[in-house]
Amino acid sequence: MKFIHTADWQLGMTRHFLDGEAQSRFSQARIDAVGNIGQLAVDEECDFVVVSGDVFESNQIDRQVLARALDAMAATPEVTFYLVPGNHDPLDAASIFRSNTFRERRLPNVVVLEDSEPLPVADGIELVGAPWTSKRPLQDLVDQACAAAAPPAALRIIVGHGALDNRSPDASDPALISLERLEARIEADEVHYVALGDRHSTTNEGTTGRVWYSGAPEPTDYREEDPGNVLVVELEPGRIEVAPRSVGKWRFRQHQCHLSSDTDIDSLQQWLDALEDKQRTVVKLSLVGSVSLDQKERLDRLLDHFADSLAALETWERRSDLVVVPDDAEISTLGLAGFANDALGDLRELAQSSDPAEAVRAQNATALLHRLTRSAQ
Amino acid sequence: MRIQRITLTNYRGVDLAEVTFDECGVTVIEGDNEAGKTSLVEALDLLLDERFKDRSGDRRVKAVRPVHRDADPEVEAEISTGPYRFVFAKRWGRRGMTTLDISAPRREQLTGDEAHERVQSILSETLDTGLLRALQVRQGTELALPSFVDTDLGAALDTAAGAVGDSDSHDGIWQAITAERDIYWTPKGKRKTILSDSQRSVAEAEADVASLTQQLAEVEADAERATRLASDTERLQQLVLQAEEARDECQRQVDAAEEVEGELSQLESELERLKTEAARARADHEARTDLVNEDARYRQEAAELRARAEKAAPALAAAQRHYDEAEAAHRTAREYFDQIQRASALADRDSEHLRQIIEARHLRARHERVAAAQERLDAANAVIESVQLDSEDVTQIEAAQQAVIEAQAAADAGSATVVTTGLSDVEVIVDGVALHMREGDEQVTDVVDSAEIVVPDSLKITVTAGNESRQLSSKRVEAEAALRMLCDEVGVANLAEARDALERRDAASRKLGRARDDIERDLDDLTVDDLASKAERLSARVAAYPNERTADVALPPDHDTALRAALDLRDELKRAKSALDSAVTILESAQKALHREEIDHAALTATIAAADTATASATQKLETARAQLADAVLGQRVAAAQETERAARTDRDASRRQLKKLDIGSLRDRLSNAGQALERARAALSKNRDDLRALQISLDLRGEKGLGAQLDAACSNRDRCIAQDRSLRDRAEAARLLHQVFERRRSEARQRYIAPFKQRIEQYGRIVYDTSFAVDVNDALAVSRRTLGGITLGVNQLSTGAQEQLGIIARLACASIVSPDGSGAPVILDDALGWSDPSRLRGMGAAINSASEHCQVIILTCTPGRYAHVGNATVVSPPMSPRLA
Repeated sequence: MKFIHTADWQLGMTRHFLDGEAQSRFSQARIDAVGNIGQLAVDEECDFVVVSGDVFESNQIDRQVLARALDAMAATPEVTFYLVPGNHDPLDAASIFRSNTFRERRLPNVVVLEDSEPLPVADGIELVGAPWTSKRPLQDLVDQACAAAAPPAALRIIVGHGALDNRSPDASDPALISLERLEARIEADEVHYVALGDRHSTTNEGTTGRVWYSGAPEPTDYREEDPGNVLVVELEPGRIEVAPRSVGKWRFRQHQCHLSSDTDIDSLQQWLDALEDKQRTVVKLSLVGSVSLDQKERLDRLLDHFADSLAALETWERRSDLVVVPDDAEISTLGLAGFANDALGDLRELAQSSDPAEAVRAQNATALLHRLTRSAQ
Repeated sequence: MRIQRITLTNYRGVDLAEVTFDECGVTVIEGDNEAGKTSLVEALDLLLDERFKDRSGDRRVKAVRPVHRDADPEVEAEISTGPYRFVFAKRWGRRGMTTLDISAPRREQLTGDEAHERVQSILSETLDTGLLRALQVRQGTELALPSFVDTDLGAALDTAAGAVGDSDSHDGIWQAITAERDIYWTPKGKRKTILSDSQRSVAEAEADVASLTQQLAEVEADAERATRLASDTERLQQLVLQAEEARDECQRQVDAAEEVEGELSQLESELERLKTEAARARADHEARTDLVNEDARYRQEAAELRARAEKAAPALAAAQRHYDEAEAAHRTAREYFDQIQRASALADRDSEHLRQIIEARHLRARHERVAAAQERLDAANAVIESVQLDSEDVTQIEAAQQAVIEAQAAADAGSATVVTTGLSDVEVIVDGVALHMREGDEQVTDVVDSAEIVVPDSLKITVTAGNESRQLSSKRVEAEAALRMLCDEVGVANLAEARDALERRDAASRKLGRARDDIERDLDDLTVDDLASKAERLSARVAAYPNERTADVALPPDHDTALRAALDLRDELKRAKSALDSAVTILESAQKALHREEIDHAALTATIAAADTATASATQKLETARAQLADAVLGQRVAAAQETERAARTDRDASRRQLKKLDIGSLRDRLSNAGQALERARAALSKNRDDLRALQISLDLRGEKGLGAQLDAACSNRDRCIAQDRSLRDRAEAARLLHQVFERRRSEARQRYIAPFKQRIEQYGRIVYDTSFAVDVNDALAVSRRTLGGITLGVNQLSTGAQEQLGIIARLACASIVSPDGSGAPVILDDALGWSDPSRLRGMGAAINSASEHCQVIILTCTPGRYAHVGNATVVSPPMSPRLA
């Protein structure tokens, strides 16, 4: 028996660094991923798909996104999607799963696990959902769901969402999922697979090989280690096989480079040039070093160029420290004499100021002078 | 540039003129007006100006042709400029010609356009034509302090300031920097709208985020509230169930108590019924007793009435009798009164009749007396009318008579008296009056005038009175005439007659009065006719009376008798009347007494009858009642009913005690409370459901808005705005800083740059004025202000003379700075300093002299001596002469 384990679709998510057109493509890619998962299920002859929480970015997303998501799942009517509400889309009074749009378009192949009643989904297979009903649960919902359900009548898959206690830095969070208890239940043959969501990177948790985070099918941030996958799970009594399948099309890359020479800029250019599928790649650069006015101009042109070709190109302000210092050759090419030269000297002195704000201001003023002089010449 | 020499040929009115200048120093060209001094400057312009080639037909070229000769004007100048030294000549006209002979730095000879172009090339290489013009002070042109900003002075100052490079491009950068600053800041350093707009955009974007965050927080709070409400629903449902049970239990207890209450109510009504029955039995018994008593009472009453009636019968008879007697007495009195009344009336009528007879007689008598008095009245009136005089007339006549007597006496006394004495009987006529005289008769005649005594037939004696006698006689005649006239007037002959007439009149008047009194008395308000008719009527009545009167009684003989009889009868009538009144009173009293007795009797009779009837009725009722139910049975019934009532009361009291023990009031209160608690629980449940439903609808509606997506978009927008704003502010700060730094450095440089020029001006100025002289030089390299003796004034505030002096000093300063290396241009002053006083002229001379060590100065003047103070000037005078050749 095979099924697909996925999670954290977070449909309706927007990224502030994406401009309008890129945001549209980003959103569409995430909808497309849903359709691709359905198609993958057909191709892999999977019996169903479980989505372990955070199907939607929030309960307050644009209803158009919901409609498109339902359309995407409707495209493969033979595949049933079992959805569990997560912390982003809890099953509360404002739940999107109870919205008019969702109710009116209720699809036969879309099932929301609203409680923890074991649900037989295939021969010898039952699902136990651990849905979030509020944003701040006060207990381990997965453990609670396991405890509440009757003893398993078949292979039991727990579909839950949240952080495992072995990973969280905040041990006092009552909602943490106990890995130890889960493994004990697996050991006791009460649970046979735990399909978790929340962590966007694909992760095999613990030692049983039966507790997995599928990761997000499309990456959403730079910090994610191994996003863009779904898991094809083959489960039989006494045997389990979990195979990640890459479905993500977008990439988030962050890159730090030291710039102090034209060569460094060349390297950066080469790195950027080498990026594949630029229009679906989001890059965040941290730039450190010291460049001349000309180099800064070149760098700016370079960044402008890639900002156009990439989905987004951000500069990581917090991790950037790029000083612009005109070199002597630049000074002489400006052809400034007399008072103008004196003024430039003043600015260069200010650029070395211990007050970083003043230094930046002076650098900017120097760059401006550079630009104005060039255009005047 | 220096000018060594200039030669004019056929130029305006000059055939040939040549002036040689000191290359360094001052050349003063003195000459009268119209001597052609200004032509020198003009000729130099024409020669060097690139527009005026030798073939030029320009108006200015034509203007310099000689007027009366067909000769082409020609100008030749020997000039050094930069490294060049050359002689350049031009002739304009049909035989136009241009020649150039360059002697340094290397020899070169050119003609025509080539020469023209070469000179232009040399000039443009070495000469600043703007400076050339700026250094000229021309006669008749406007006074203006020169600006040297676009001249070689700038370059010279640059050199002096030690700058290198192109100052124009610095201006370009400066403009660009200023323009960049102006994008963000006002010249005074205030933010422009581009910055505030950006900040506002950030604020608005942040407000959007805050608003959406708030809305989302509300949605979340509402979602949590909905969850709470949903869990409340179950609790409230439980509460309702519990309240219902409690209410039902209370209801059961109340129902039981109400059953007891119902029984008590029945017992109460039974008791009431029995009370009524007992009361009725008692009432029946009492009614029977009343009937018995009533019957007895009526019987007794009837007996008492009858006894009273028997006792009252004699009084009634007595009253009847008394009445009958009174009635008889009254009748007798009435008859007597009537009789007397009739007799009295007849006596009165008789008395009246008799009185009328007397009155009729009196009336007739009065009538006769009135008639008689009227006659007397008429007679008296006739007398009075016949007499014309009155007592006054008589008095007058008496006076006149007295006057006659007195006049007579006087006449008599004064007149002669003729006494005629009859001696016998004789007839004598004295004064016409025949007298029969007897013997012894004496006739005395007073002769007034004359008297005539005639004895008929015998004698006539005429006695004439004397004059006095006549006068007296005349007076007497007058008095007599007056007397006679008075008498005539009243119709009497003399006084006696008058007195008699008056006497008659008075008598008649008295008679008249008496007659009137009589008439008045007898008429007594009546007229004569009234009196007559009254008398007549009375007589008629008197005559009729005996026929009308009864004949039974004889008419009394006279009035007095009749009157006495009538008065007697009146007295008698009064007495009869009194007797009658008293009889009436007695009768009325008797009648009233009788009536009273009769009423009493009738009432008693009726009362007896009524008492009899009542007695019969009561007896009948009693008998009927007794026939129905015997008196004893009634008594038994009363006793039985009272016993039954007592038993019922005991039952009722027992029931009451039971109910009190149950305390139905408290039970009802508890039930009411339980009911209210239930209602409240239901209301709370209902409100909870309503709230939940409303909240759910509200959440659904808000869910449709996609607030999360909106917030994401707002956050993105805010981040973008912040980034843009930061970038904008960075650019603005950079632009400001750049501008500030440049401005400071530029200003410093300006000051350094201008300093040599300013120093040179002040150097020359202090020669002219004193050491307190100082100037401000602006960016346009023009003097903007002058300070002297501690007072600083703008150049426009200076006097014309001071402005001119300052202008020349500035030119000298400029020329002295730019000229030393052979560049620059000469300072040319054409009739300048006309407004300067001698002391200033002295100073200016010294300044010019000082400057001329560094530059060429050419002075044209028509005022010999004005420039006498220029120490080393070469004076050319006359500068030129016509037709030298």
